[in-house]
Amino acid sequence: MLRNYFKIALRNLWKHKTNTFINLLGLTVAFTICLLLLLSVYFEFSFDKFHQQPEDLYRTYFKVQQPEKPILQSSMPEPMLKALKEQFPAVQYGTRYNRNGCEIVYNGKHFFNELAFGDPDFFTMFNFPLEKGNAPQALEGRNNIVLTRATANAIFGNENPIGKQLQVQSGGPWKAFIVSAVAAEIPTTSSIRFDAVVPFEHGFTYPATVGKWDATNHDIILRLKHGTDVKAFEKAVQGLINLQYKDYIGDLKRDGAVAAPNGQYMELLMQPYLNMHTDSSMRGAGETISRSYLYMLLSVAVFVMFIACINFINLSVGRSFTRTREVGLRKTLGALPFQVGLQFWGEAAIICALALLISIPVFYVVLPYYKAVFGSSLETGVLNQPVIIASIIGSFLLVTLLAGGYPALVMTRMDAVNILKGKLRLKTSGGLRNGLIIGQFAIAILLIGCTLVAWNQLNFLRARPLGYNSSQVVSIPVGQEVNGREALELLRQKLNAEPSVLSVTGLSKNMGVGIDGGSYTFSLGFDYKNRNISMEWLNVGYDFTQTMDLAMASGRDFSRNFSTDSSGIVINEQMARKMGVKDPVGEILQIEELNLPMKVIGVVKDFNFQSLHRPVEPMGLVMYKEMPINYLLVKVRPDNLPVIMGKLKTHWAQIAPRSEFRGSFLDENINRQYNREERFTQIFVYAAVVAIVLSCLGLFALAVLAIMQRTREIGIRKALGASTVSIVQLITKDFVKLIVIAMIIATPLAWYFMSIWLKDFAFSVQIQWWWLLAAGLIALAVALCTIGYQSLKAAFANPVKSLKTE
Amino acid sequence: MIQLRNISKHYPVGFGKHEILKEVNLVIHEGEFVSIMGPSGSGKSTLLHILGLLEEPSDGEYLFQGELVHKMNDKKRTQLHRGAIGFVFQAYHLIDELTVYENIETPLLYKNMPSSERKSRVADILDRFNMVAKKDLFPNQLSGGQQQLVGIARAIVAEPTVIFADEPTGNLHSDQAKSIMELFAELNKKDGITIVQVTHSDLNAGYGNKVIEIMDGRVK
Repeated sequence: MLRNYFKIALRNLWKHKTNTFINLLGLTVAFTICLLLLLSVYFEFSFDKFHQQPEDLYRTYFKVQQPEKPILQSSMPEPMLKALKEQFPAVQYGTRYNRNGCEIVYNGKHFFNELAFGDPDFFTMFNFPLEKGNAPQALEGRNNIVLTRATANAIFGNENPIGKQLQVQSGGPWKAFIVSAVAAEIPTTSSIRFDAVVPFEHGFTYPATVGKWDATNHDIILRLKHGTDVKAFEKAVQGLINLQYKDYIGDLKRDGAVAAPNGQYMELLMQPYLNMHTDSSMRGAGETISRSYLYMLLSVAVFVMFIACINFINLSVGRSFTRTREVGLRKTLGALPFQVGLQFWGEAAIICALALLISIPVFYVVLPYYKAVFGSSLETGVLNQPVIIASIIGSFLLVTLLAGGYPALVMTRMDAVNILKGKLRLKTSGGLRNGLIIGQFAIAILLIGCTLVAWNQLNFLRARPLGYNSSQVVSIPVGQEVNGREALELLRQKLNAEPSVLSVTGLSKNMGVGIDGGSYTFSLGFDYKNRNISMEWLNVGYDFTQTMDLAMASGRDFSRNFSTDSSGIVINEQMARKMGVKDPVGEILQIEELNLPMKVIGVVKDFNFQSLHRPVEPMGLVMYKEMPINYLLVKVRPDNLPVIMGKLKTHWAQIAPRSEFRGSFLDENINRQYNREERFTQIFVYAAVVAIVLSCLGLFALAVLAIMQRTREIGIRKALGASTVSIVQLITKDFVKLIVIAMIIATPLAWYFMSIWLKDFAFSVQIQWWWLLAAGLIALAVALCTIGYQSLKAAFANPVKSLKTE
Repeated sequence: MIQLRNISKHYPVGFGKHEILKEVNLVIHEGEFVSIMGPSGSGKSTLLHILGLLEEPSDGEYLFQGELVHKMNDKKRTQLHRGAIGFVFQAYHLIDELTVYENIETPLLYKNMPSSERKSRVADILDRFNMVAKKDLFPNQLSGGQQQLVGIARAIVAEPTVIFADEPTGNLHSDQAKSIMELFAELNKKDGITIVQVTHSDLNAGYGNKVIEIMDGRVK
C-alpha cells in the first residue's frame, strides 16, 4: 500500500515538473533561510548558558529617575560590591568586571591582548575551567595573572607558564605579574571574553575611585544563593542605596524628578545574567544584540516559510481538480477517507523531505556568506545539538501537516459520486486561495516598503552634513604601545614639514567607528545655578577646531599663548542654551566631582559629535591632563590621498614600531557607525527579494492552472470574437485585484513599523507616501510580468484546438 | 440478493423538489444479468448509484444481501466496496499514474491482501484477459477497448458477487462493445457474478436475462 502511494507520488511529481520545481525551490529556499535565521536566533539566546546554574547569576544596574526620563546604568562604583557582600548573606559570590586592551612583554617579545579585571570569586562563580592552577586562589595574590590557553601558548610555547613572570601595561605604568593559572578556551557564547585576567585593583582608574560612591566604571556580577527571591533582595538593598545616595536623590527631587511607582528615585536592580546578551538597553560587559532584532529575524523566517507553504497549498489544491477523479475512484474501490488523506499528506512529506535534504548542504555552502553579510558568529556545531535536531524534525512535521494537510482535507471531503459523474465543478476553493495570495503579497509589499524606507534613511544619515570636515581628516587610533600626548607631539614634529598636511590634533574619542572599533565617552553632571546639568567632555589637543573646520560662535579656541587653558573649556551652543546665560564666555563651571573650576573661554557651533541616533547634546572641549588622548587627527590636502596615507603609515611605524597602523578617514568611520542599520536594510532587501520571487513563482503556477481550467472558456470567447486584450484582462484582472488588496493591507503596516524604527534616530527622514506606493507598484509590476506571458500565450492560442481537446 | 422497496430519490429545487426516482420496487436475484434501460434523464444512472451504495435514496428501503443499507455505517459500506461490489464505468476511470498491473492491483491493496496472493490473483486475471504483455503500460498507451478491459479486470479481481456497470460500452465502437459484452456474459455464466448494467442499446440488453425499463423515474 505504502509502496503504491509512494509510486504514485513520485510519478505525479515527475509528471508535473513545473509545480514540483516551484515547490521544491520554494521549500528549499525557505528551509535554508529558516535554518540560518533560526539557528542564529538560537545561538544568540544560548549565550552564557554554559555556566553552572546560570539562573542564579545577576548583573546589578541602577535605575535612576532623572527629570527627563528614567535611565538604566550598569556601571557601578568601587565600594558597591564590598558593601553588598558584607551586608547581604544572599550574595554567595560576586565580582567586579572591566576590560581593557593591554601589552604583555616576556623575554623581549611583545603581545597585544585583551585584559579583564576581576575579583577572586571570578573563577569560582563562572564556569571558566582552569587547565592549570586552582580556581579559588587564581586571583588571590595581588600580582597574579591568569592566561587563556591560546595566550599562554602564544607567549610561552611549550614552556610551563605557571610561576613565570610577565610585564604588563594597560593604560598605565608597566607592572610585573606572576602567571598563577591557565584557563581553557572561553566558549564563543560567553559575554565575558578575555585573553588574560588580573586582580581588579590593577585597573588604571582604580586608585582615583577607591571608596567613592559617585564614580562608576565597571560592571558587577553576583551569584545569589540558590532559591533567593530576587524581588525581596532588591527591596532589601534599597536601604543601602537610599543611604549612600542621599544627596544625589535630594538633587533629583530638587530638579523635578518624578518618583517611580514604588516611590523610589534610585534603585539597584538585578538583571538576570542570561538576559544580558539580548538586552541592548545598557552598555557594559559583553556585546549585546537587541532582542527586537532577533524577533525580526524570527519573523522573517516565519514569513518566508509561510510564503513557501502558501505556494504549496495553492498549487496542491489548485491541481486537485485534475486528481478528483482518482480520489473518487479510490473511494469506490474501498479507500477510507484517512487513507486518501494519508496519501496526499505523504506526497507533501516527500517534497518537504527532499527540500530539507537539499537545504542542509545549501546551508553549509551559504553559511560563510551569511556570516560575512550579517556579522553573525553562528557556528555549524549548533546543528548537531539534540534540541536543534528535534526542533528541525518537529517543524518539518508541522510544515508538512500545514502544507499537505489542507489539500488532503479538501480531497477527502469530496463526494465520490459527483466527481465520477463529472458534476463537481471544483472551484479551487477560491476564498482561501485568494486569502493566501493576498497574505503572500502583503508580506512581500511590507518587506519592499520597509526596504525602501530603511534605504532612504541610511542614505539620509550618510549624506547629512555633520558640521565638521569628515572627508579630509584621518583618524589614527593611538593603541596601547605609546602614550597619546607624546605620540601627538612626535607626529606633529614629523608632519611639520609635510606640505600636504594642514594640521594635526588629538582627541579622546573617535568620530564614528574606526577600524579598531573602540569607543570612549566621558560625561559628568554638576550643579550650575542650582540645577544639575550633564555634559559630555571631549579631551582635545591644540588646533582641534581648525583641524575639524569647526566655527566659533563666540569667544576663542584653545591657544598656546594662554598658560591657563588647562582649566578652560570650550562649550557647544547646546550647552550654552542649557546654561541659559546670554553670554556664557567667562562663566565658571564648578565641577565638584573633580574639584575643578572650569572657565568657559569660547562657544563652538553645534556639530554632531555622536551618531545621528542622538540629537546634539551639551558638550565641552577640554585640555584636561587626567583624560587620555586616544586618537590623533590629521587634516590633509584633498589631492592624492593614498600617497598621504602611505606617508602617515611610515611616520607611525617610527612612533609606534610594534603597533599596526589603523588610520582611516572620518567619513569611513561615520559610515561604519551605521553598520547596524546597514545590516538591517540588507536583511530587508534579501527578505523582500525572496518574498517577491517565491510569491511570484506561486502566482505563475496558479496562473498556468487557471488558464488550463479556463481553456474551453477562452476558446469559446475567442470563437465569439473576443480580442486578445480582453482575454489578457480576463485572466489578469482577478490577480491584480488581489494584489491591490494586499497593497491596502501592507502599506499602513509598513508605515507603522518603520515609524517605530525611525524613532530610534534623532535625525530621520519623513516617510513619503510614494515610497510605500512604489513598493506596491513594484510588486504589482513583477506579478504582472509573471502572469502576463502565460495569459498572452492563452490569448493567442488557436480556439479550435482548445475546443477540440475538451 | 438485492431488494428495493418504494425507493424514491429527489433533489430540492427552489421551493419544490425535483423527483428522479419514484417508488421503485425491484428484486434482483443472485446470478442474474440485468439491464436497466430507458431514455436520457429517466433516472437509470441514479438507480445504479443507489444500487452501488454511492448514493442514498431519499425514501424507501434497500436490502443488500438481506441487510438494510441505510442502517449500515461507513465502515461496513467500505467493506462492501472492497469485497462484494465491483464497478465498471463508461469513462473507464483508470488511474493515469498507475500501470495496467498496478491499476488492477489497487482494490486488493485496500483489502490488505498479502503480497504473494495479490501477485497470483493479478497474474491470473491478466492471463485470462490476454493482457500479460501490456501489464507495464500506462492507461493512455491503450485503446479504449483495452482500457475498459482493464476496468473490468479491476472490477472482478477482488471477486465481487455483483458488478455494476454504467454504460460500459458507451465510449466504444461496436466491435469492441461486442467483445466486452461477451466478456460480461461469460463472467455471469462461468463465474456466477451478478451483473447490473445501464445501457441504451437493445443489442447489449440482449446479452442479459432481464430488462428493467425505466421512464420518468418509474419502473415499467
